[in-house]
Amino acid sequence: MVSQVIGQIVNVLMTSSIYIMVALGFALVFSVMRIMNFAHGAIYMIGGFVCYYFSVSMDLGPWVALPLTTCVMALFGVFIEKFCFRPFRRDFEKATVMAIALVTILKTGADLTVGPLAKGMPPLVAGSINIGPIAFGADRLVVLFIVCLLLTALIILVRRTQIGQAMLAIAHDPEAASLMGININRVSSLVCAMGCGLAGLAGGLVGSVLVLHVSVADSILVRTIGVIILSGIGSIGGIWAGGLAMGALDTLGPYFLPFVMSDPFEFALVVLILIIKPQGFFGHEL
Amino acid sequence: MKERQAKRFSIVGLIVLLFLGPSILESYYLHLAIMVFIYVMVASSLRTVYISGQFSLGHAAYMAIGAYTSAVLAKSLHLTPWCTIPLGGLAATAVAVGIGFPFARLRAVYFSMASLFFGITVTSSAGLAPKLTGGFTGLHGIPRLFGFTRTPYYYLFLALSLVVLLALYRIEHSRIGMTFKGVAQSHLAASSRGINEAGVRITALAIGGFFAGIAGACYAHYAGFIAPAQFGVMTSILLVVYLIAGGKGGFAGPIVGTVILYLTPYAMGGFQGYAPFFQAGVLIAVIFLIPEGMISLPGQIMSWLKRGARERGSL
Repeated sequence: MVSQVIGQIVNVLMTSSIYIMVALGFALVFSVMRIMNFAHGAIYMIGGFVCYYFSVSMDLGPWVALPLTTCVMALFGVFIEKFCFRPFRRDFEKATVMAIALVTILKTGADLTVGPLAKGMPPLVAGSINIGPIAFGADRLVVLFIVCLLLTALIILVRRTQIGQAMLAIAHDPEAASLMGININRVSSLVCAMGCGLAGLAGGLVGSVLVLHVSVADSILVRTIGVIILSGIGSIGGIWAGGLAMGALDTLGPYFLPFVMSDPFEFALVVLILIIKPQGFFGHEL
Repeated sequence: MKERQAKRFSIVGLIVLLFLGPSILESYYLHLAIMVFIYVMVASSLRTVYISGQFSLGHAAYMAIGAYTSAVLAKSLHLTPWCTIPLGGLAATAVAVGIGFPFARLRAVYFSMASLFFGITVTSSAGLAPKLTGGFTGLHGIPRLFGFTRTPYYYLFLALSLVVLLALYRIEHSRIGMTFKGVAQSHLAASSRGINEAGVRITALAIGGFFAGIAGACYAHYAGFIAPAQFGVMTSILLVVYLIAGGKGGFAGPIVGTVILYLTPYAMGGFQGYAPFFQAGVLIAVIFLIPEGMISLPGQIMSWLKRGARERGSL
């Protein structure tokens, strides 16, 4: 019983940490550029396949493949920021159309090259770790560790460095920020690179624990937006709590509710929270 | 005045041409035409919601509600589809009004997010009663309206979409339509003129939901099979794309957008696998070159020509 509970806690933490990683990128892009990047889920999915390509097809092993994937996806982020999103900053409607065009391209590309079959990657670390009578899958713990490390670094970057302050300043008031000498284009590039890099890395990490499939793009996008809503649109610090809540709902829902009810319940809850508290638990009205 | 008459003539000519469709087109093209009629109805009903300042990302959910209500009633209670289709529309309206009350206090991006999650909630609820709705794999064997030949469907959907478009056009240009636009422009100004903002927005949702529900119900009795995935997030977002890429400034926008964007993948012939790339290319070209949407293309070309002439003149 205890081992089951602890196993579930590890599962919740892992799912949540992946959600937090993806949602953090999404939230940063949204705060700085006011663009709902509906392509974020597709970028996550592509990240997973890029990682698969490096690690399995080119046989580089996961420890080379993961940093490589992050770099490739970050470069891709710079590319889409420059050529796709820069002209439509703060233009919700056109940016949406652009994002849909991107989703279409990425998904069709994945469909044509990878095909409809799910792919699995070898685990990062084989075997399990025993703590007392309880055994954990070592790969899950490694993923959790990597994500925690990264997120801490990221929070320090946003809160404690000059470039992070520049991001927050742009999120607060872009005109004043640019009058203070902040280069909005460069910060946007960086933010988009970070967002896409994180999403790609998350895709790669998940690929080694679960499986990769083209259809994960939609489900992760929905979860990401759910996390954003729970934590408050435009809030960066709240993502931790929102991600934990979403991960717990997702992982534990099927335990407490009949399987078919857990999804509608989860989404209805998000709608309910939007109605009762539109600014989320940590946000402020835009 | 002359321009207006020319416009009217061309519209009447187009409609007459459309009624000749089945005598010219093969069955496969009739199917495409029917699907275009259905999506034109839904995209135009989305426009009604849109002009009231509500950027809905869950409009396909009303289609789903209409389709499932009508299909389940017709299949389980053996009612005739002619009776259940309006019921499907009414069910979608009822849901739209029901969510309209709490959603009326959400504006801008909050409304969009709420409608997005409303849409997902609706489609994921199909699994709640798998015996009735067929679950996630879909509902088979829905009674059809006319059997398997497509010609009667073509006429029905053509007539229906004309009626729906006329109704939506009249609504948009009536007093109610004006209040929709007023609320969209400034809810404060509208309220100060004695317009009940919440009421107006709920009305817009109800009208949009009704016609989307009707279209969805008709689709169910045409296709004979529906599944939740057909009405998912991507369908809702595609509807928005039809509206924006077609041109949000005019009533013809969603119609033009749907016709062009829905048909592009099928116009590719042997390269259909690559067709989505082409569709994405069209979208990118539209937002970069003609930001006001496809319906502004003639005006845009005129202005390019004029500029070209001016530049040549100055040389």
